[in-house]
Amino acid sequence: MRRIFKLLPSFQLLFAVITLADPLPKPKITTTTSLLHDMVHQLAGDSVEIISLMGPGVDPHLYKVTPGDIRKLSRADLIVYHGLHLEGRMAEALENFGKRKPTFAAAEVLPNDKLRTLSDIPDPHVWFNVQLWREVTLGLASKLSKTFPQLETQVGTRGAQYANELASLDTEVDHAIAKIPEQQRILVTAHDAFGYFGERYKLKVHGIQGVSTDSEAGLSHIQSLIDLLVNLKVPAVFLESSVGERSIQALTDGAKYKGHSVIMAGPLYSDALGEPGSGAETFTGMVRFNVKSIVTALGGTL
Amino acid sequence: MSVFQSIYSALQLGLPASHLAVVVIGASVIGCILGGVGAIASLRREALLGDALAHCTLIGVIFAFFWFGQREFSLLFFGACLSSFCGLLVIRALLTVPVIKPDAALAVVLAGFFGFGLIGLRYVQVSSLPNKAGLESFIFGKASLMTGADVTWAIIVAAVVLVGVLLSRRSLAALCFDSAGLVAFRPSVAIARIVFAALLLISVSIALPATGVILTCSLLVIPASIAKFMARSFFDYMLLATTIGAISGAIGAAASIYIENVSTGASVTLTATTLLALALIVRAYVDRQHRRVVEFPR
Amino acid sequence: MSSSPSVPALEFHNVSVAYGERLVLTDIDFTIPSGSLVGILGPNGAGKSTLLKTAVGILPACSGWIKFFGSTFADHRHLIAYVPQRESVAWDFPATAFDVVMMGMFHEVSWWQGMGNARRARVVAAMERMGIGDLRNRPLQDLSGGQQQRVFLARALVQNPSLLLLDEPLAGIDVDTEAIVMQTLKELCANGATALVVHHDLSTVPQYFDRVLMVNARLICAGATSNVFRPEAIKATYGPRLSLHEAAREVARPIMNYREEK
Repeated sequence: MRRIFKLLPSFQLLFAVITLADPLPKPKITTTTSLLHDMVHQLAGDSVEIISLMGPGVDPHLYKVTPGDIRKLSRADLIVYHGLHLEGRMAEALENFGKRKPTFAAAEVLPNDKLRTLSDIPDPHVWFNVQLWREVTLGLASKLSKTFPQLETQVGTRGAQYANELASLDTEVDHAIAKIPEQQRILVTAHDAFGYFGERYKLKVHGIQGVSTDSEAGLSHIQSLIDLLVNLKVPAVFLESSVGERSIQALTDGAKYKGHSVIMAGPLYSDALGEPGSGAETFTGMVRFNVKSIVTALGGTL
Repeated sequence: MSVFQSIYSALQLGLPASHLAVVVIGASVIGCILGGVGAIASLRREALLGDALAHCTLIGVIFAFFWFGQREFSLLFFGACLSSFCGLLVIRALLTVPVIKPDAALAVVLAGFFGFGLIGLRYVQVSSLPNKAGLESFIFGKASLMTGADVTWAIIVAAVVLVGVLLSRRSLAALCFDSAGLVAFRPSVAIARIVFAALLLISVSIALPATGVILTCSLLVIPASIAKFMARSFFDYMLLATTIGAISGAIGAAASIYIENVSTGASVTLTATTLLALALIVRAYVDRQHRRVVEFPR
Repeated sequence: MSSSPSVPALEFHNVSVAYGERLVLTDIDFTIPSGSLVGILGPNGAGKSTLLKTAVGILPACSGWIKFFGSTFADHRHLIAYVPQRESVAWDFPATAFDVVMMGMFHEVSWWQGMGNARRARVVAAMERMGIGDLRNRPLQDLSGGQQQRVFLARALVQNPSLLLLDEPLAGIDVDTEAIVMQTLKELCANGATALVVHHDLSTVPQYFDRVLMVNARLICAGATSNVFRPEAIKATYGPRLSLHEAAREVARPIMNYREEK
């Protein structure tokens, strides 16, 4: 700890040198989730300075704002957050910053009729429908161009390119999922993150917990899931990177008591990207990783 | 499946045949443990000690995770026991300071340890350590997601608690009634004090990951309160408290199968509270029947 | 039960006791011969209860030493019975009177043993001696103050103690209980046991006790009642005059006892 304090002045010096050396300082963009960090990076590359509040593997549902985050947020020229209550415990802080800073709720560019709702609350996990995420990307691109005119051409070309990439990723996922035998297209995960995924790519999706990881599942719900696993002979259930494995363990145990063995597959990346080097550190990498796990575990061949 | 059938199949002790059975048996075993240990705690006016110790475990779980770098249950359990033991030592140390009242000592330790625990948890959540997900479920456990392994652990702890309580039954009674008065028996009472602290520690640490902090605390307090209304002897009292704990666990867990969208923990707590209300009503009725007709004015 | 009469039952040598920084008892020094029935007298807050608690090791002495029958407390633990003040005990404890009296013999048996019928008979005998044989199965919380006190004394008796330390056993109890308590203590002491009793009612001192300890933070005097219990000593203990309040309490005590009992 003490060593860090000793280093502190040199860090400050470094900052000072950087600011002096750069005649036109880069726009500072603070994002909440690692997914948005990736999106801004794809659009603007190194011409902006991006700070992400949540690193890889951090659960945005439970994330709470720290004083350090407030500093990062107040230093930003633009705050990009997901919206739709994904950052459940940051809502108040984000709202307050919205009054005195340009903020952008990326997922809220989507029209209401494209959103799934669960008991009147919109489901925030839109990125699993790659088409929707493409729309969100385009929305963010135009916001970036408007807010930072100096980036307009760069964001325009990179945005168009990335949008094409996402469109082809969308068809790729579609084809891959189609390789799973039809009666086995059932995706059981720790929480209800994959609703959009199931809707777009035609899988039945079940989560143990609700849309947020911050709730407790009722026993009747667990039991009906176990019955489903047994009755439909579902071969695998999926761990998620940002949710503990206890809940999945309870399901596989329960199915085993009834004589049906279910493998614990994954983990899938659900609410956050993976570590650098994991192959899931970008959005496209994460989708490909998930799809590969799902298809192989559910009996398809790639 | 009819209500009767599923309760019956859930009570097939010995061979858990389904997830329901696991949860129902687990909840009742944990209710039994907490009911018994809570009975002693509540006689010692220390029911909230369990609450404080439960909150102390979080920091230990986090430290164990850092230290061993993995999420192995027994290691986290060890950490939980260790940190709540530290919490206990701090409480005892604070009590020797004359100006600090017992409730203040409990509050300070609860808030302090839990606060540091939350900071630690937060640090883990934003860090890039592997396997960190679900660490918080050690203390905010979810009863409906109990696993067979949880129940096995709970049964082992139940056996330990049973043996501990049976062997030191007399010294525990003396400890609860007047710990200082029995001069000749004092060495045994001193041992009983340690035994009780140890039992409380392991019971709370085993119950937390399975059922969560709120359910743990309510099962420590409520069965003991009910037993106190009805028991005439210490033996009856202990038996009643454990039975009521077990019944609340079983009924509460079984009920949560049929009530949609009610978490099992809440359902168990609600069952225990309902039993308490019933006991109060019955007691009030019985008292009215037995009240002396003539009362001397003071 | 009896020790050789030459060895004093209890010795205090320059004992001081403090609560935090405040000295409650200073340089207490006395010797109690075996077989005496001793009244400990002093105003409220004088440290009478503290004296007993220090003797049985509930409170630590900050200086001096205490000897029981010529050696340490631990050596004679089983011969010593302490009856705490009634208010200091949780009477809502779920037990019958019988269970509580049985506690007096807990130290005699090992963890895994039962209490046995012989001990049960001793409990019944002790309860009958205290005139509460018929209350055996009553829950503790249903007992009156006097009955609670008799239960406690029965618990002490069942232990066959050589030294009894009783903290205000006569406070807030009925006349009958007071009589039976004092009679029992006299019988015990006649058989060689020693009893120290914290006591309030000055009018009964000469009748009840053959020795007194008069305490007010310091030891004012100790000795045979006939030699020591005199107006000068009472003045020195309770201040220049017995306060009006104290005097009123002393007069009112029998009446209050009677009413509390009802």
